[in-house]
Amino acid sequence: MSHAVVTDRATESRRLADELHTTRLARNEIETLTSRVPGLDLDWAYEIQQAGIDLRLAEGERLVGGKLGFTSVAMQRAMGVDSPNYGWLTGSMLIHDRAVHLDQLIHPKVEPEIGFLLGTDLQPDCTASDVLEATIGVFPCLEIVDSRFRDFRFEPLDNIADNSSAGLLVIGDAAVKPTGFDLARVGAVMRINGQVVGTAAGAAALDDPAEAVAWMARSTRTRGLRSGDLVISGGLTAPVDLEAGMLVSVEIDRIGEAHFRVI
Amino acid sequence: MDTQLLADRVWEAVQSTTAISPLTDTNPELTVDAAYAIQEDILERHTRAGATIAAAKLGLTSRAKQQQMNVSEPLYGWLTDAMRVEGKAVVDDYIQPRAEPEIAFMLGEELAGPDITTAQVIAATEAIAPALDILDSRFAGYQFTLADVAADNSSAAGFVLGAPVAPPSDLSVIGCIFEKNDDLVATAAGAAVMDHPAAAVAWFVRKLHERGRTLPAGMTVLAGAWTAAVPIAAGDSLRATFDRIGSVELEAT
Repeated sequence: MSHAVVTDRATESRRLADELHTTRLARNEIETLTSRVPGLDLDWAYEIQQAGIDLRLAEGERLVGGKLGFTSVAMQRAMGVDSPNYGWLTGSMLIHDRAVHLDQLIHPKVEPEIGFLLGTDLQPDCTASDVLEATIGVFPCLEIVDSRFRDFRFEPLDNIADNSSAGLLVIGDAAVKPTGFDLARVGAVMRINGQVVGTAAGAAALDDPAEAVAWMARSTRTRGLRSGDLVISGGLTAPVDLEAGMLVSVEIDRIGEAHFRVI
Repeated sequence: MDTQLLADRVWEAVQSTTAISPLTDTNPELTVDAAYAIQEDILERHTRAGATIAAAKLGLTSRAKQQQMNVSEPLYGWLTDAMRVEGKAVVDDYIQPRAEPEIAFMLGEELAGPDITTAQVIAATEAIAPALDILDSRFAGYQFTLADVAADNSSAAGFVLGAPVAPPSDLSVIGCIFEKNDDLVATAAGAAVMDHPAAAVAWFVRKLHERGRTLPAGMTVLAGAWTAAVPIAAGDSLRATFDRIGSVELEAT
């Protein structure tokens, strides 16, 4: 007598999350999920993402905040989507010594972002102005994104399952209360070894970085955005590949500066 | 090579708002220096037609554009009072108009000499105004070499100036939002222009010095594009907003 093996979706999500988790730790690359998981949809992709976060928490990591992806219209068009996505940040992603070690990563890229430190919980109907009111301070950030998929190529659903390509995060020292100026208008200049490699204004993130954070607060499935969370609001310039020896910096007008060295 | 004849061709294209083929198609030997002589000739024709020089403009100030054109330095041209647009542009006045966001330096002192620095440009700047540079290459499809576009007065065709303000402290980190029909087209910061827009003006002064010229007090210089240019069609509205400086708008009919 034979049984059809039926695995329920939760089990399959845990299996795929484990595969992504192991791939990250082993610094391998895998084939996209969209190329081999029939029926993968938005809800399922976020379930895989959450199962991956649960694995990290089970290993003693701490959830420290959230991140936005696909916040630029250019990126959304390139990926054929009409909304951003989100992922989660854990404590082990934070770089404290301004050194990014390539041997911890697969094929990392860097992009400058504005980070929001929340002082109150955000409600699921929140607006950009609610976000600004809840924000203790904004930080200049450099996000090191890394995909677990081969050649950094994927479909939007793969990216969600892979925690929106979360890698590492360098946070600048300064924290500024975002009042008296418009975050959409602040200029950002990213340099590598002193050479300008990209410039942008805050509006590059969903027309307004605070709106990007509000979108995440309205869109999260398992957990809201809470007091104490750090939320990075989406890449402002095109990402740049990291290579050993690079000194990467970002200067954000009215906010401050962040930098790191690639080892 | 008869540069007079080449200037005739460009001028005819300007007058008739009809695109022509690049001068270097028929005269591949055209140098950039000879092209600037043609530019001078074109400007004399503008002034003989009653126009006066209102401002200077810089082009190819981003590394990306220079790489695209396979050149290592920017380009300059001149804007006349007749090219000034007060918020509304008629697309039929142009061949293939495009716009790009820039800031204009308004000089309080003359700038001259072979060693002018970014800091000296900043010190001589009385005010900064948000600007839109309206380009209109006389060459079909914007296909040209550096010499062609220099001869064509750096594609100069129109400009809009917003209200001038006292110069902000660091132009390199000023943010710019460029919108077309209320949709975001691109964003940038001042460092997109040669790491600092005043560096582009300093280059211009040094270049003028090579030709025995200076940049007089009172001159306005549109210092180069912060983002890629966008095509303008009838019905379009464009807006460039510069943090700490202000915004400038253009309606096309």
